[in-house]
Amino acid sequence: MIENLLSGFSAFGDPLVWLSLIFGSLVGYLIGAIPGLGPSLGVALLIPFTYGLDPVVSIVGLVALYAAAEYGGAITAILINSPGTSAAVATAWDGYPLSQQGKAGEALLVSIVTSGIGIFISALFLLFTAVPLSEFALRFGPGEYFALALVGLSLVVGLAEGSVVKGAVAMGIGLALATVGLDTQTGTPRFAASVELFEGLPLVPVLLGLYALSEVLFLVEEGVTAKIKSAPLGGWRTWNWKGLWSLNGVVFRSSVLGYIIGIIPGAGASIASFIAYAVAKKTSKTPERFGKGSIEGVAASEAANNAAVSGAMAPLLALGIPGSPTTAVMIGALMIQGIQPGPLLFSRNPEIPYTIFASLWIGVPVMVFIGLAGARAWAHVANIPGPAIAAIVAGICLVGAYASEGTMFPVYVMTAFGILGYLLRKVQVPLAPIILALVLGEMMETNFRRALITSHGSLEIFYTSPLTVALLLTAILAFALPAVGFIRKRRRAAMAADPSV
Amino acid sequence: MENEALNKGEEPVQGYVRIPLSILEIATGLIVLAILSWYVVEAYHLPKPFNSTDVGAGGFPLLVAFGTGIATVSMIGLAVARHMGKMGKADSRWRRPLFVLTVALLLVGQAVTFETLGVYLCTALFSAAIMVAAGERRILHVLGVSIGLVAFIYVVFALALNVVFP
Amino acid sequence: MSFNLFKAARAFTAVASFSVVASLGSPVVAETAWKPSGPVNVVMHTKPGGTADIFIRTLAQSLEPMIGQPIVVVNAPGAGGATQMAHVSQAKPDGVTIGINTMSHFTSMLTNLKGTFSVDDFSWIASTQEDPIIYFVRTDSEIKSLSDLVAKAKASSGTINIGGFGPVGSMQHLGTAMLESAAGVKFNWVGFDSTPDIMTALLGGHVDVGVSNLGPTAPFFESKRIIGLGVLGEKRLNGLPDVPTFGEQGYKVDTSWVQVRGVFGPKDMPLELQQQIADAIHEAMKAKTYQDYARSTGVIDSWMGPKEYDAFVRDVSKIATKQLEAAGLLQ
Repeated sequence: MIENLLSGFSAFGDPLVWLSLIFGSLVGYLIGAIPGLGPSLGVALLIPFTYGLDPVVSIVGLVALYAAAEYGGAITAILINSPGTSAAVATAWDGYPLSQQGKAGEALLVSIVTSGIGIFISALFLLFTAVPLSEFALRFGPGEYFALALVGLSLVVGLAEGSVVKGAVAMGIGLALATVGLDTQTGTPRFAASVELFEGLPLVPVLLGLYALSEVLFLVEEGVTAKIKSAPLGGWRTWNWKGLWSLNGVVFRSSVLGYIIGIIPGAGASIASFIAYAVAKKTSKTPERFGKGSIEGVAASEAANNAAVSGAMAPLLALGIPGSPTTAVMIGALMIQGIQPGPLLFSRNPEIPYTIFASLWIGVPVMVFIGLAGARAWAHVANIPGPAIAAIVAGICLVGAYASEGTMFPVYVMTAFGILGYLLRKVQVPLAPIILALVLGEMMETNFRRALITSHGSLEIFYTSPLTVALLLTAILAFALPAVGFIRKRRRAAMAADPSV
Repeated sequence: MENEALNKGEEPVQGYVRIPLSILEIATGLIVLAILSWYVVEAYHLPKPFNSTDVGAGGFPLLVAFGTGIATVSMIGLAVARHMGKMGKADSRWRRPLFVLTVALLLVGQAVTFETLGVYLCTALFSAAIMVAAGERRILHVLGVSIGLVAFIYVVFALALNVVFP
Repeated sequence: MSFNLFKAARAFTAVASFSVVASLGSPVVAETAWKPSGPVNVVMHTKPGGTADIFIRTLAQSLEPMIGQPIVVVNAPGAGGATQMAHVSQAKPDGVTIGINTMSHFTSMLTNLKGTFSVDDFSWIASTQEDPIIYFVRTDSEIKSLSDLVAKAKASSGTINIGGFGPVGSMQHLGTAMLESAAGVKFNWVGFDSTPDIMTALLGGHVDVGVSNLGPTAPFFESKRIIGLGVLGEKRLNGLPDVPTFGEQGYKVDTSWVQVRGVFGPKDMPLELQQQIADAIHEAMKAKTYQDYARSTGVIDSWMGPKEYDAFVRDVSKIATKQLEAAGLLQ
């Protein structure tokens, strides 16, 4: 293995490989930062450029692009509350409040450093555990996927600020929205007034609307008000090294979580970042700061969504099964190069997996360097006055939504959800459960029904597999604990108000 | 929206509307219930599954509607209880409602006219209009931002990514 | 969604793709009559990475230099292909927007998309591949052949889970239904949205039998993780010579029920243009890169032009109607 790993690193003796790495990182950084475009689109765009290239050169560029694009989403999430991908939503929850408090520079610094560390740690795990953990991931059948989706959903209860009941309403709305479109088991159109809706609501325009466009309307409410000046990001000597170091626990836990969730085919970076965020909040000493500008929140989300990149690589390398939409595109790229990803990849083309390990590691400093250089410039965006930000966000969202599919439909969806998001925020209905339910809804329904079909209608599929049982118990606990806490708090409040009770 | 408690002039901020949160929650709850009933009717009429062990296309939506219905009814119930004065009251403040409404209409406008005006004219016009509506009065700033935005879109989307716009 | 990355890099690609062609030993790029006015959008009904997706991405390598325009693959997945068909049917019939179709297009136009789209809403330009479906199990399965499967299905009355692509009424499901009626048994169909999902479920033991084309399963056959039960087709596959056909094992099914991949466009496309597109695509299929790929994935080249393909589409729709009726899926 050491030998193969060395040969993986030796690929970097070729300047063309470096060029590919830097080019991939830059493109990924840009594509990730633009609301509406994401890593899978980026990789698909780069494929035509890899035709004539050596497989090693092209795979390095694609991996670098994937990792950098998964990071790029954090920039707009922090600065203008526009998570370009669903994996950056959790970053926006704390990143944008930090930005409003004049700490955009610090948030960007933390996001890029923790993203880098997330990749670094997870790539190490990938090297040693890709094969066994991918085999383990095969044990995820329909029952397990359903239970996993439920775990993700149950975390909503812990995340939603304010009223638990409103969180439940929001979750219901999200689940209902997720059922729009053609049914995956019977092919019947559901709640779809027009053919455009057959594919379901496009996620990214909904995200842009609920978060970014509704924020435009909030900026209008503010009008021209004195903004808190963002502290400029100084040289490395001035950084809060102690503060960064204190994040080590969160970053490590989130990286491991992100990696493991990334391995499960179909789970992916967004679920990883949601779960890591929820776990970070549960284990934090200052959970009350989550959602209001917690550095830990940014670190958890970013470390996890980048660690999921290595995670998604594991089943690709070990089994030839893509762990995420982006790796599915990569399989296509490899096959065009005449390389068949699959169980024989390690013995037949060892240079490919080991080059991927090497490029994940070597890519980290390159990506962090680009990110830090960018962070200094981007931090100034936070100082632009409110009305100008509003106009810029509205314009970029418009163009980004159009570019995401090349049709007007996502633009209309985004606008409608922008206004809806504003109204919901005014009634203090939390938005996070809507997004989470929309992301998880289809996975939940499809697998619930698939589970019942494979078990011939018997519910025992949900309690005979230990994995399903463990996941379901986790979900029930996560649902029940906040509710118990809520009731206890109520009782205590009632007692305080009325001593006769 | 119901403008129950209008600006009573306690705050110097220009025009804002204050609505008791409980009223808004009841209104939202009723709207959600109305949409849910349409949803249930639609789900109910979905075809039965071919496979007898499948819950069918309508099964899961009905389950979702049931759960959401309960949550919505409890939200309305809690809001009514709060409105009757059992618990602490809260207000929802809608600041500068006219400007917000204007910008909301502008957002709809930019989406509707995007195809006819073309990307550059559309973003230039509407970004300027949104800035003015948001309270920016410095002409140079308004012009600068809208021109800068158009330039940015051209460089990133048209030049670098080769997106074909209307 | 027609993009191309940085202009500088485009020049680089041009050089790169030229070098591919050059390395094939054909110094002059074959000229074709088809000269599209801009980048050609090929709309796909699958997620990136599926069989049909890899087909067009490979073909693009040799097609791009011939037509002098980049091929932009637009993935518009959605059950039954409705999203893609909407994309294609709304496009101008100028050849700049075309789609890749499979057998599922014909079956879905008879079932869930009945009334939304019909064969007459499109121009059927050319066929490119035939790809029989195969049935396979995990190597450690008790089922070793089609007769084992049928025997087991008889014993367990419809509880054998067969995982394949698409909902009930899809191409692979109908193929399974044909086997059911030939053998007089009943299987339990579990629909998946992508072939990798089927492989995950089969390898994890969540379904008993998997259905797929050879391409995505080849590495699993090679590494002996799965064994083939039978091929639904006329002949055995070159890539899988040990796996017998259904007919050889004594189950008589309509062997014309193979996966077909073709090219289609919006309706009212001039026949002349259709012929040009068909010729260009068939010419591009002769390139070595494409042939290498086609042989390694075991697909059979198919050369029907607009007239033959249109007739074929109408024929196969009739067969599909019959199958759907037999399966009780048409009211």
